[in-house]
Amino acid sequence: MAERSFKKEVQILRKGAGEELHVEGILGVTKALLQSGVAYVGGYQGSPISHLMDVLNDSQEILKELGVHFESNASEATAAAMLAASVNYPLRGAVAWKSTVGTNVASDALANLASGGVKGGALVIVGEDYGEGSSIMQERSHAFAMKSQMWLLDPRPNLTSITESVEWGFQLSEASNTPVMLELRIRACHVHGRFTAKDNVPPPLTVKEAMENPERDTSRIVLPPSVFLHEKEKIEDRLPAAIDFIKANKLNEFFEPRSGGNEKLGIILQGGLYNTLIRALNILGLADAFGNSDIPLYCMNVTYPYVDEEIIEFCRGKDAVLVVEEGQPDYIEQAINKMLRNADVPTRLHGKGMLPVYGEYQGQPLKEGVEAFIQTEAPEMLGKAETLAANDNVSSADNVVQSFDPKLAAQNVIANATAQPNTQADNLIPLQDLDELVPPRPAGFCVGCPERPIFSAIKQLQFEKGEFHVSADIGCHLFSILPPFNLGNTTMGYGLGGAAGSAFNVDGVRRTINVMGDGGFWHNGLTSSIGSAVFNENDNVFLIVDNNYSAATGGQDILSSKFYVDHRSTQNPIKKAVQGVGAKWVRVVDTYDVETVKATFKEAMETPIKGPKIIIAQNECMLNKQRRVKPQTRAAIKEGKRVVRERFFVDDETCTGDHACIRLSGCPSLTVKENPNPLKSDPVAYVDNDCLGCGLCGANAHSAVLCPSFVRAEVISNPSKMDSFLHGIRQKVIGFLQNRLQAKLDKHAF
Amino acid sequence: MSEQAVKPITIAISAMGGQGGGVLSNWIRDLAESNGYVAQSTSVPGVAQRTGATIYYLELFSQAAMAQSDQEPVLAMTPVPGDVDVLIAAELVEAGRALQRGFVSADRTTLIATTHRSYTVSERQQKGNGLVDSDKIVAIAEQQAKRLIAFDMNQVAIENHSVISSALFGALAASEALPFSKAQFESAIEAGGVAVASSLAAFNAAYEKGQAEKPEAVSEPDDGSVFSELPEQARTDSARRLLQRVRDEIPEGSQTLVFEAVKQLVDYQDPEYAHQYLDRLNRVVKQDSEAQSFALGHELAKQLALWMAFQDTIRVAEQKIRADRFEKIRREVKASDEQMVYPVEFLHPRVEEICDSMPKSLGEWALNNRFARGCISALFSHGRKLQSAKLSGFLQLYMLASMKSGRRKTLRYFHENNHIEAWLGRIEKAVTRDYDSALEIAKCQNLIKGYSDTHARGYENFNAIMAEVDAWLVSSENSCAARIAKLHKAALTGEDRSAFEAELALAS
Repeated sequence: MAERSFKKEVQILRKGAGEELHVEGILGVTKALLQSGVAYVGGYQGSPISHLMDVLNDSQEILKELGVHFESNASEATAAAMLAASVNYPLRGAVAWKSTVGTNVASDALANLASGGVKGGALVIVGEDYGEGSSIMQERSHAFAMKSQMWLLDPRPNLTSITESVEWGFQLSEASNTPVMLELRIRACHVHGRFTAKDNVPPPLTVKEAMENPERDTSRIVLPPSVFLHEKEKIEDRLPAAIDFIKANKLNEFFEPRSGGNEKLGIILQGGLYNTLIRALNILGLADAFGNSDIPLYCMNVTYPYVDEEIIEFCRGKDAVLVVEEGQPDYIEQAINKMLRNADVPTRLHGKGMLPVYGEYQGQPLKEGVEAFIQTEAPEMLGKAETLAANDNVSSADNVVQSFDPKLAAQNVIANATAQPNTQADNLIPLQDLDELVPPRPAGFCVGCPERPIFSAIKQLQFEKGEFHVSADIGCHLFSILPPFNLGNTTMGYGLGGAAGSAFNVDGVRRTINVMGDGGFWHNGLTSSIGSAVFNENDNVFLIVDNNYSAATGGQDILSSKFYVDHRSTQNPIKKAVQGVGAKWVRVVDTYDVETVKATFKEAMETPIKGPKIIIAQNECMLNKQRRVKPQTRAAIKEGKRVVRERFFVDDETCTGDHACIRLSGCPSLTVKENPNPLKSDPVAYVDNDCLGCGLCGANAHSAVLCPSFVRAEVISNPSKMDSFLHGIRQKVIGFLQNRLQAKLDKHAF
Repeated sequence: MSEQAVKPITIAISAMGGQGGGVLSNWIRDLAESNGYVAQSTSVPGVAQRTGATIYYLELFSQAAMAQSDQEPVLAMTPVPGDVDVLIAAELVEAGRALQRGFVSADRTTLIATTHRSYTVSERQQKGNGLVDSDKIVAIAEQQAKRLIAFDMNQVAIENHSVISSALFGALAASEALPFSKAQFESAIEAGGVAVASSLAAFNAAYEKGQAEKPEAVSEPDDGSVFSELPEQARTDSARRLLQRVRDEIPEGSQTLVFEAVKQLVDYQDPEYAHQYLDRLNRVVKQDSEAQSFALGHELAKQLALWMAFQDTIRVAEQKIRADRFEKIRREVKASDEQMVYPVEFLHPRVEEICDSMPKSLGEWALNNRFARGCISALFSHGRKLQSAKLSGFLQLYMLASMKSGRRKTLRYFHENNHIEAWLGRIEKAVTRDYDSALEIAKCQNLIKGYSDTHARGYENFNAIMAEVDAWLVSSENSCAARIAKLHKAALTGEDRSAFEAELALAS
């Protein structure tokens, strides 16, 4: 059960030609796939592309009606390999994943696919997880396109451009027998805008029909001697075909300057940066809100291959051109430099010298980069609009790169803004003070997360045994690296937690802990981490966090999900899988039972038994559980059934404000509030109303021998007759004794 | 039309993942799209949303302006510093973060900020008070924004059984920063179709508050403790005597504080104990300096009272069984009259705490006798869950609380008393040499807090600092105030003792 349901939204996929759709980018892409006569789709979840998989999953009925096959692939490699269906048959296929991590995983299959080439259109939709909000290492998918000779689309980030690029992506793929990648930046995946729909097109050939009429073309199989011919074909046939198609269909766009503009300058940009660039020009007074600019633009909606002719043509006769290319290395700028050199065009080329070498190109760095470009090449064009940045700030490239730091950039802006004459200037609080007032707020475990108790237990065990080397993995459990747990040394890739710890397979004072989630486990961890550890007789401890879903990517179902899922085989226990590859020491524990988790880790650390010690820590993602259970509980209460709700509470008089509990939990609902005792100044621990009653607070209070302040309140709705009877007796006795106590105190009352 | 006029309205929402920023975005988008604007919204999905700071961004563009030029606008995906019309902050530090990033400009930005705090891990995990100064963020916001609407929008939401997005939406309507009427805002909520009644209630409450001129002051944990005034007359004889002593013996500026302390100690033990407190306090107050506005006496009055009311098992049991506590729990879990609430207490006394509650000689024997210790350990090796509102649980706690009259004979009392006396002795000696040093020594009491291991570690740090004090007392150094202050701070830093040990090693 995914975190977000698109069951309602997907009905929009049935809309026909001419209707204006107001949707999220991801949904637009799905609609575009159906409009393109796609025969099969698949992929692997991961931000920012997860919702595309959720949308496809929720639209299976519609896909079926059209004869489109959908596969929820086990990994990006699986998804890429599935595109093999387009090698021999004129089937259009599309897969999606998060890049560059997913592209890394898929690269074996992708390289093979790109080598042999395709007959049907093959489209890979990559969610480029780069810049703000990204959770992965910062790399570009561009390199993959270049090294495997695949084509890379980077359309302007409006829904019309994005949806159209899906359609011509397939055409380009077929015209050049080459798989095509469609790159969508994070915010483009989730941009909510509008576009005009077309009718859905059932695939001209379905996978069923292809399967029933097998065909094969050995020249497309990656096997000598064909492989040597593939190399030749890539350069001599497929590349020219692609370039011809791009030119003929005007996939890249030339924007002429508006009247009064400057023909002598130009900007070459990646399509995905178009909107941000226009805003930067707009703020500088060099473009209007509709994109009519004073400077000619060459917008690369296809960022690979380059159409040399178009670029040379654009640059010829201009004094200077700025290349706006996000990320590093500056592949495009290097290529353009070579083109101009070879063509003997003397236009000056600027790029990374004026724009940040690395990092996301948001509005501020782009504005400063363009301003530096104009300042250098045509300073008379500036001053049309009031610009906040002081001109002397942008004269050297150094300054520009430095001010790419959003904080610094902001301070520049504010410094200049507050430099205005102000009668109260003396009373102003310096903005630098914000540095102390604004603590970082990284992402972390949610309220009631079942993974938190595991790390509480490990942290407590560390107090006893000393620090462990912890090989972490991709997934929510990675948040263990942050305070308050501070556990985890490396993260090497999805499902590779165990593999990343494999060098430490030697005798030591303390065994290492190798973490993996159930998502990573089924992605590849079973073989690369566990299988390998069994085979090499790795003596360390392996933790598999089993929370029923691929939780970090949005709660998608996996092989070991506990519930019955339509169209899928679930309920295949991880325990059986690891035993199947030969693991001997396997324990399954409930994550919330901190005492047992701690004892199990201790046993795993100390047991003389050889081979990997595998601990499967199970409990459900609480937010997913809430989504499932809350409506049921509400209904039960309404029906008059006896329901017990639990939540935690801290006695504010008993709490001494030491916050040891918080250092073992970090749960957002375990927070602090004012000390009710006016003599005390330290805030006391406080459980707010978001508490889900997961039980960790109590378990920690016990296992770490914390303090007597923790209370679990059991709230009984619709109490039974027995409840009421006992309650009456209790109230009487307790009330009597409480009155006696009060009477004693009253003797000295003030 | 001039270029200035044809511009999108830019709105950034600075929030934490999972706070409902998406709902607010949807409302604003629907509001705009149903009232003559096109709207674009973006967000950052995925792991970034797991409780971390995140920004939602919207641009609205007038359809009339589009029709006039017959062109589509190009709308940006991220806010640009200096180019934001409305900044909505769903948490106060997130408002601060937006200010830091330059998204609030004095010539342009309407800032709508809730003043409630959702404390970050780095603030919460401190051993003492690690919270940032909220008032200062509001002050900076006021100075930076063209217009600021600030009040506790979370509270408004809670009072109306809604979530913060409805209150933020109400404050946005009140700001009149968008070209839409209140009725149009309300229709957007109605069109959303989810929890309409409660959302509208919170929306309207926030709308009204949002029209106030000044931002509301922030209420939050701070040191500005407020004590109640001394009563004219006390109700009982024993209380009257104590009240009179406070009036006669304590400098005026500290009377309310000392009166509060006295009340707490009577509640903790008995009037005699409060007299003992006043006797102790007087030893120092006599030497205190009016020139220093009796700062030492004031500090000591607070610290001494807290120490004398040490949290032993008897005190904890007493706190757990009081009638007003059960009421407090009911309120806190929002139980209705028809619901029953049963607290389950998580208790885990160690051998030390058990022995501490015994008479001194018995406790010492049990602690040092292997057999006795083993027996007690076995009994209390696991944590206990005690049902304090059911008979057996209540009675156990009641019995324990009844041992209050014998507290002065317990091992714990003996230890604490010795430490208090030694500490007071140091302060008395120190004040004759250096006032500031005496003040710092007095402050060190707050290192001793928590229970079990935490408490033991606190004592360890306290004792290490006192050893430094003792060394200073026999040295010729003028002052040890700076040194103690540094050590005190280090002892409250970080989880282990490493910062403290490093600081300790510096001088020796």
